[in-house]
Amino acid sequence: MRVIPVTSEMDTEASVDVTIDRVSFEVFYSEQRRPLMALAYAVSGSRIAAEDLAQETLVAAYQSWDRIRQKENPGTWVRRMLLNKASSHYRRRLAEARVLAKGLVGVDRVEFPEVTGDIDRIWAEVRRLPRRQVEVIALAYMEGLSQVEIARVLGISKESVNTHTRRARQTLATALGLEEEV
Amino acid sequence: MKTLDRTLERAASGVSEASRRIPDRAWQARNSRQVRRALTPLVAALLVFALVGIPALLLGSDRPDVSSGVTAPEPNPEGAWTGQHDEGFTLAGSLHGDDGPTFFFIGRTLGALLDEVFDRDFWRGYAGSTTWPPTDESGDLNVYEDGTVTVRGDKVARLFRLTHTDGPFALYWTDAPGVEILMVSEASDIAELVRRAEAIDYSPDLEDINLDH
Repeated sequence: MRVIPVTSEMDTEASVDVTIDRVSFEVFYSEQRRPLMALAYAVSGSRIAAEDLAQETLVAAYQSWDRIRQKENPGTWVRRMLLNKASSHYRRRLAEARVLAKGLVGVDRVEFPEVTGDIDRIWAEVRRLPRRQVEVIALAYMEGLSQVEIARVLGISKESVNTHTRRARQTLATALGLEEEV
Repeated sequence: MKTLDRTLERAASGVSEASRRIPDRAWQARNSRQVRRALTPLVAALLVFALVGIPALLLGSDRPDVSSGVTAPEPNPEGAWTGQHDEGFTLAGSLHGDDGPTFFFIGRTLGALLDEVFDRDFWRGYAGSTTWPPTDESGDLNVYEDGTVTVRGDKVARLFRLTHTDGPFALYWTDAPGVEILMVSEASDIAELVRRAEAIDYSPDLEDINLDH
């Protein structure tokens, strides 16, 4: 699959090839927070979850910064952790929704700003896919990663990434009413 | 494919642009050194609680140990309870029987905690409460299964979004910057916490406790 960077700026900020041996955690944080939050939103559909996931991931990175900074690719590590957290976050969101449904808590502060209904609908369709497919689509389009890079983040083979991607695209093309080219 | 690519690119671009407008509440007024400094007393408070509360927990009690200085809690309609340690620790939990989850919010007295890190007027307005700390007739706060904490009253506010991670306790960031809460879940986790506390000779330093799970 051809991977297309969304924007040049995003590509820079979201790069998982950041060399950080001599870069402080603060720099890493400032570079990674926003793309992580966007990725988290793509897979969770919730601003609350997105902020939580990005924050939790970066806190965990901070806790182990001495070790993580030695890794060849810390960006890969934090993305894998974020996606793992996103999976376990789902149950918590269900319980939270129950609390919100009781009318105990205002919800006007939790919208992701200026995400139009159309964009939201596209990601909603993505999130209906099986989890791995959601992850490969999010990493490909939100992060602009190649299949090799996605495989590295998810800890699976490139072939698996290819399979998940192909199936995801077929499903999405149908769900979104788009013509799938062969 | 091109049509789908363009659609997904547009969706990604929309989310990316939107993310730029979300303020960095947790970090914008602090750096990592500040985080560490703010957390240290909380970790200490957590460890003290573990030493106070764990006997009751390990014995299967669903209430704080009154004899150790915790006042008898008052159950509220949600099944949560709160207790106030006379040395200034607030305990709150939601117990759901042997098969259900058990969560514990641990920290210093809510008001004292927030006083330290926040302008109390902010919280008074946020909670819509005329008292400090914000209270309701059944307790200071409720902790739900997912860790959501609410303060009940005329205008119930969500103060914290606690995080239940896979680890023994979690660091959490509120909607407002500067408040971190530690939470443990499950008695076994508390036991593990005590073990770690002993291992570090009761002088916790953030770097000595591995929160990475």
